[in-house]
Amino acid sequence: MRARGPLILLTLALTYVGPYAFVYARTATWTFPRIDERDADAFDGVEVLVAQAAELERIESVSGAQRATYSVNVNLMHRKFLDWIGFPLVLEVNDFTFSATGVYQGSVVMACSQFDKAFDKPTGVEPWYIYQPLVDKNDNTTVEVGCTGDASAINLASLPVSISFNWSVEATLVGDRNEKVRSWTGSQTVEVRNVRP
Amino acid sequence: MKRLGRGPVARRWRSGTSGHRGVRELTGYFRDKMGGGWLGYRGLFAALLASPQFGLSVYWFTYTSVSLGTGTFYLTLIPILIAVPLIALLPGKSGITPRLLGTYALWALLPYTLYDWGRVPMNLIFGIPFWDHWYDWGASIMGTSGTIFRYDTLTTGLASHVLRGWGFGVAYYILVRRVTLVSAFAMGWAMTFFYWLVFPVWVLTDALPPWIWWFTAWMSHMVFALGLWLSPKVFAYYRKAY
Repeated sequence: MRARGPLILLTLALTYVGPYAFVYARTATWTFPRIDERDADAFDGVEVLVAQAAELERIESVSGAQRATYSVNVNLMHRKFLDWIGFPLVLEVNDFTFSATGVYQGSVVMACSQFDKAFDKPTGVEPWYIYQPLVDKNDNTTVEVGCTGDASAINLASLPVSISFNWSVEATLVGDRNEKVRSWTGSQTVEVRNVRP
Repeated sequence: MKRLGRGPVARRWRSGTSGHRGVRELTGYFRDKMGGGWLGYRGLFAALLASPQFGLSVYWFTYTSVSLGTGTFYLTLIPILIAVPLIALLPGKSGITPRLLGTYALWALLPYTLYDWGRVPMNLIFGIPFWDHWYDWGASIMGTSGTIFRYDTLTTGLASHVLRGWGFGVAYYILVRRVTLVSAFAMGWAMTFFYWLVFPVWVLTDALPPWIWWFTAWMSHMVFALGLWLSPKVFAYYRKAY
């Protein structure tokens, strides 16, 4: 009869630790690999789309020269992803850096640069009815980038004109457990429009 | 003819006791000062020892604005620190002696473990994890910055989960004078309703859950109830065997 005591204790001990041993094992073999996989897919899914129009907003005199200010919209797309339990999240975007040059008839007519420390995203402290619309809203983020150039480089009377636009983007993407610095480059035609009042 | 038996309701029926007195008799169990009824010391001790849930409730109801560390300190650690000396000082008032508390503390180890065992197959079959909140809880208690998916947050969250399950178990054993299958399942159902209500409303990641979530919550609490009933029997068997 006495021999059964330790056996019961051993059974109880195994019963106690069993589910928690399972949790640690599953964390190592399922949870973390699944998170890493979903993070990687989310990082790869992000795209940058630069608008095909640059808007001339104003011309001002600076030290005797005429400086033109343009704006170009840059979209960082598909930040939304599903985490390891299928819950919708938005990728954190930090240190977003955009730079570009616009070339017209062989000469640089505008240069653009933009830096954002962090993009907006839901905090996770919101109730669902606030959180869910924020996730959809932050899926695609549009940044209005300012560009400047010599106003005399383009004949304003000939606007709109098409220029060659070469750009590059770098950003740190942060997922559930991983982060990655990604960069994108592109070259495209952009139409310069005059939107001055 | 309908048999009324010999219980308090039957006695009141036969003697034509007034409604007011009848209510007093019916609520006697709750007011019983000698045994420390539910509105007496038993209720107080049960509330104080179920306090791990209070810490978490504040964390939930504020949508995690109040950290779980803060909730656990004010609404768990302090209540338990009050409960232990009170139970030691007032054993005659409540019927709960320190030795009995120790027994309940041991009994309460089994139900939450069985609750988690009940969830293991749901993870393997349906892919529903039962430890997803543990990372959040651990990170909130530890004040972790950066990713919450770490082994230290998991361990802290696990400790928090265990404490909560244990607290519910101890509270049950304090509240009931005799462990029965009916009262154990009543406790299981009460916990299920609480879970069904709180998680979809206040826990962001469990908003709009699928049907399997509701089933898993119910099933695991029924296993918990079974554990409440089974635990004293296992320990009695052990004491006889050793």
